[in-house]
Amino acid sequence: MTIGLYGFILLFVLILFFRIPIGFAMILVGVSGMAYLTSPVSAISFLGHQVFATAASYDMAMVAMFILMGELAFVTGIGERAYGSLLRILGRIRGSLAMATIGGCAAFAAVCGSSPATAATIGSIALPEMRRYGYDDALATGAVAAGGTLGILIPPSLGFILFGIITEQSIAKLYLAGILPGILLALLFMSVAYVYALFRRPACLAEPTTIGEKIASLKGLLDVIVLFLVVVGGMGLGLFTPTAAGAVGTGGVLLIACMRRRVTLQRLMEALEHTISTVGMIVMIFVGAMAFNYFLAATTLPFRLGGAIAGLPIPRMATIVCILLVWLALGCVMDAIGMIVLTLPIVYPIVLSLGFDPIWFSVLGVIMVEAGLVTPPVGMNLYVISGIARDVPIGTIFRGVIPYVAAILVCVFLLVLFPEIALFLPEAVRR
Amino acid sequence: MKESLSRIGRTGLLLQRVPSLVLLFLVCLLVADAIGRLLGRPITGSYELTQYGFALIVSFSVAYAGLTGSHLVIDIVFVRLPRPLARLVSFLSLALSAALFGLVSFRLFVDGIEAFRLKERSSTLGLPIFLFMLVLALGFALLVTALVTRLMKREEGRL
Repeated sequence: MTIGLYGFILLFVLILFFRIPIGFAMILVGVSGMAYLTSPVSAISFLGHQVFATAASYDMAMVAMFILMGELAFVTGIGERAYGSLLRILGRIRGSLAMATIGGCAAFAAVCGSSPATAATIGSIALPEMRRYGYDDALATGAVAAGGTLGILIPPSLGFILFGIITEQSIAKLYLAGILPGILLALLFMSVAYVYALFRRPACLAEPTTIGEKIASLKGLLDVIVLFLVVVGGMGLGLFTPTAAGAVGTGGVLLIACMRRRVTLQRLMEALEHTISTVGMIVMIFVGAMAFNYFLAATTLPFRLGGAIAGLPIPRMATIVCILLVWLALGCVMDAIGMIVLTLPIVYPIVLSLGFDPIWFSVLGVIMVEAGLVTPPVGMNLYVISGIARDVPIGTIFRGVIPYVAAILVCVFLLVLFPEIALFLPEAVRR
Repeated sequence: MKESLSRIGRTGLLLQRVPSLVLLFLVCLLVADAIGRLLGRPITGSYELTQYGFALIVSFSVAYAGLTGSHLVIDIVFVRLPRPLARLVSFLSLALSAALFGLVSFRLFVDGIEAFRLKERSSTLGLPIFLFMLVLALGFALLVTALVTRLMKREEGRL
């Protein structure tokens, strides 16, 4: 067990002090540990096998499909149309622009699994609009940064793919489990925006719209609804495998882009370039996670730790709260994906040994990743928004996002109290 | 994109274009297969083609991500290190990574030769597995080259 602890320490030294990419460091420690426990020859042989098994994997291909789907959605204007529709539907309600921004983010998240991409897509349209109507910078930037985080919770989501592959759970079930918490969090964010706008001057009012205009504007949400139903519905009903669903979604987005004449060869190549680069990065993290997990399992550290914690005279839920607090703290100083990949090998066996539902726990984990995306100093979405609104000091964006972090914590609290919010849909489909 | 491609040159273009085309092919294949399945006529071997097609994508994309410096790093401590120490750490990090992936490439090459010797083939389409192992070995060799190139550029910059 001690060797497992040394492995963890070495891993953090390599990642933090040597700035070795997370995937590389995990492979290095995993293979070195296996070499120590077995023999150098069998460790290297294991690594070769692991690399090929990850690369030649039908399930892993889903990562490329969903990333490409999000990249293409970025250029098709789906996000702009959804945002415009919601703005007309909300009309002259106080804070309607901020609420439409969050709703637009939620709608775009239904076709894109990346939070920074969601924040960038909606932020580039919504921020100038909100500022034109007199929204203060904190309210405007906070709404976009927080709304963008929905990208990783509302399926299709890269966060759930990450959890699903590392913990060997059904991606389809995880996607179904993310729908209701995603809607709940979007509503909580919208409530925050509404309350925020109530106490602000000027009145944060947009142009009024008639009932006819509101109904007509529903058309702008059609693309998102159809794509979401085909991809997530098809997967949930067992019509497609997750990989095929990703491809169908990509094909659908490409078709919409061609019909709207929004895609050129250059834009397509850009989307592919980003996808290829991200796939290379994610595959290395997966290979690393597998190698490191294998090593940790061989040391028996996660199981002994899980057994020890399960035997402690404290309520089970206290352990979950501790894990979530550690993730919240780590999310402030680490990249969200790195945080999950590094801690999951230890945390997940503990959660299983305590008898919690792994699907429910994964939803909580993805929500904590969301919190990590908007908590300073390394919250990725904050910097995406800072890139769009260059004249807004980063401190103002931090300030604007604080009420939304509180909303994330309320969502976590509700999920802890009522796990059915996450588990209802997967169980309903199973029945 | 043009700027980044001109920066990384022809190798970068190759590393980007080949997997891009394979990925587009896989999207078309999987969509056709999904429609075929709904109509009761799936495409035979689509599973294997996706599997090994993705292996080709990975072969080039890991090297491409290495060339463009896209692999995920955490630099909260690194940015606070004194400049000479940061240089040394950066050198060691790249050298260690290059050595590791040199080993991975070598192992995949050995496995590929072994698969060739044993005439290993995929179960449905009979695809020669050794080919994909060797391409993957080549991909990791390219990653090593990318890391060594970055290492040398860093050293040149220092001089």
